[in-house]
Amino acid sequence: MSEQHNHEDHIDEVNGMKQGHGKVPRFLIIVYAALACWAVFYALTAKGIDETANAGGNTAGVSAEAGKALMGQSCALCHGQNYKGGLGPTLAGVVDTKGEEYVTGILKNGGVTMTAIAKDNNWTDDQVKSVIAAMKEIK
Amino acid sequence: MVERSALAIYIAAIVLFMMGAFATIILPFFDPDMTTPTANAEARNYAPDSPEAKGRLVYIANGCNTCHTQYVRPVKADVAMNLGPVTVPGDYVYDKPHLFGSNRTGPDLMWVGSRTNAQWNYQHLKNPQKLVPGSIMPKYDYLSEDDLNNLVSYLMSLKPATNAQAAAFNK
Amino acid sequence: MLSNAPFSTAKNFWYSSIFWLIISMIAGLVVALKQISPDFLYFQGADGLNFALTYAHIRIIHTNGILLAWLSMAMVGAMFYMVPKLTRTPLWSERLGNLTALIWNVAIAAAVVIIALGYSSGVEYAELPLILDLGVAVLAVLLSINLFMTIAKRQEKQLYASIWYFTGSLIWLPLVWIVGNIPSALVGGAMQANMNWFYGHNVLGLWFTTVGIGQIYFLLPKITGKPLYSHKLSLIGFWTIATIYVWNGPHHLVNGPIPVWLMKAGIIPSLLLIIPVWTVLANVFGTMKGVWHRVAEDVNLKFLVTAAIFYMMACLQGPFQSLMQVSAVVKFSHWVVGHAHMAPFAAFSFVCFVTIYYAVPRLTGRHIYSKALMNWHYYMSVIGFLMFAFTLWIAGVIQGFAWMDGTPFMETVDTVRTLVVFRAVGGTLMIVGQLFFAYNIWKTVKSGTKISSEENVAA
Repeated sequence: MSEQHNHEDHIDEVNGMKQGHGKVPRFLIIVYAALACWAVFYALTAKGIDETANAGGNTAGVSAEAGKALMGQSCALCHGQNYKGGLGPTLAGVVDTKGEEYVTGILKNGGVTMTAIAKDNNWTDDQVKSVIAAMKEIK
Repeated sequence: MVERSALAIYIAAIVLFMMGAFATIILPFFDPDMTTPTANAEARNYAPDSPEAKGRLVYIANGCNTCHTQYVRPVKADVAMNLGPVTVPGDYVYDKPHLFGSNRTGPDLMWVGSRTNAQWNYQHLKNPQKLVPGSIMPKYDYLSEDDLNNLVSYLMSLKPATNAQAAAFNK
Repeated sequence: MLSNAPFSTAKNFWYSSIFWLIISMIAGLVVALKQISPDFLYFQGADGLNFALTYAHIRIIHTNGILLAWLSMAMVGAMFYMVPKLTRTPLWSERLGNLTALIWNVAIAAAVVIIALGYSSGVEYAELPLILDLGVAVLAVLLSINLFMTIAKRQEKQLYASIWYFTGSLIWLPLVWIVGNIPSALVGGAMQANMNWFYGHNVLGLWFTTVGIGQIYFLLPKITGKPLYSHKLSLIGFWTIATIYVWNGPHHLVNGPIPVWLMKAGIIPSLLLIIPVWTVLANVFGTMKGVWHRVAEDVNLKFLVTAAIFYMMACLQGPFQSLMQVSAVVKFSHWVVGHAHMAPFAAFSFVCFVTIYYAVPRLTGRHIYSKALMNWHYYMSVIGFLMFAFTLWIAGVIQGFAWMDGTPFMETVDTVRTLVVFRAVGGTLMIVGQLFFAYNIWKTVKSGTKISSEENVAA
């Protein structure tokens, strides 16, 4: 390129458009260099995110907390906000009145209209027990 | 001097374009992670005239994917929302067209079949506000009975492969 | 209709583009209102009508209308004006140009009907069915032939920076369009999603951005009367964008179902994009040195400088949200919608407004009808956009963190409800601004005061 030899004030005309030959600002050169370094560093070191282990992902161990996470927002769709009944019946006290075995059966195999939520989501036995524990806490 | 020749700009522009296109479009074809189907993919590889396949067309014609994504990421938000198993490229091998979506005006539907039932979906499509007060989803009561039922079949099929299906697939 | 008058093609493209601008923005407002009240434009019992007017159809008409009709047509008009002006060579064929404009309008009108009838391909930004995809490819070829023949017939060998950008854009557009729309549909799955985002992002970067910068490099020296600051910056800016931009597609699927190496292949170039962007801006601000005071009195300059600033902001936000950790928060939320409007509206639509305001008086020999309306157009557009965008960004961040807390989905909808209303208010201001624009251009062409021969406006 011949621009280096041109004086900075030199102005020429191309296609009727005047153009100057101002120099590249120093801070831009620093930006170019910084980005180039970052790119190499990132290419070599960056790893994909995996936050699945942090919450809800534990398949072993029984706790009402884990059960709540599993119930999440799914059960509320049919059983209403706060699980007080909607399209499906209320879940408050259901484990006491119907018995743990009955509720486990429904979770695993589905009810009259209810989806077999445990089977469809491949829940472990511990996870099913966690959900039962969480349901007992619904008042 | 490149500024003197339109042809030179033209050719250089094509070459630079092809480099990026090769890296981001062609190379993935050689990554088995992108092309190998999973059990989940088989579970949603519908026979052409099945209700699920027809329902999928209803889903597309009504643009459900405008507001609902179909992918679960290994990030805190998707884990906390309890969206189900994280999806991998192999889950989508038979999805034509893909229905990833890019906006969650409504919740993700990748595994919606495993947390809802047919009756709920049917009533919800007809009148979302009745089941979910305050919902901003439009009513789809303008769909024919056939379309609605097919759409519900499709939605209910959106669930992870069962352990049995997975075992059969891995054989 | 198929006039052979000089610059009739440019004018026809612009007048049609303004029509589609209004239509597409109204579609956008309808979508915003449907997010507030899902029963807006719902008519009990009118099943066919409800299907045609369903949320998704109107949104598709909005996005495709803005991108393919308004912005593309305005930019094509700009090239049909600037290429002959720069090369000092008459357009190869005004008749072919006008034919292109005519087919373009017919294709868009057909697209609106087809989308309303539900025949979408189902893929965002590539919704048009195959027959229209092929139609658009043909249009791109028609206009390329016309412009390349004009460039080939020029007398002066040297080419100005704007022509590099136009030449590059004209070759990239058909390539990007074809990859994203035609073979991808046969592939399906994650691979198709990757190809679609290759198109979805590059149509912005290698078409709207590059034609837009070509326009800025033409307009800025003309309006300020100052030489473009640096030839070397023009060269660096052009060749770095040509090298880097095409890699950006995969950043749309960050954390999603694609391999990590592919995410990185998209994220790194996203940050490197800061190089061409800041280089172009250095050239713009270098040129502005010494004439900043004129921004206050010249609406065109005001629009142009504002466009440059929004371009800078869009291209800081973009690289930032492509990073995995940031994407994990804002992706799928209202944030992205706010971001997606910044470059197409507040940067490149603004540039097109200036092109039209600049060229129409020179082509019709009439002064712009009302400078006050121009000012109103500017303020409504800027204030409307800021209100629109900031409410969406705030809403997006709220949504993103609420989702991370596992807040029930309906609660997150309730939290941002008010913000969604403010978005629609901002959007309304934006549209009102464009109505001033359309009216002003209409009046200019019909009854603007004639430019007397002593006034030398045709610089």
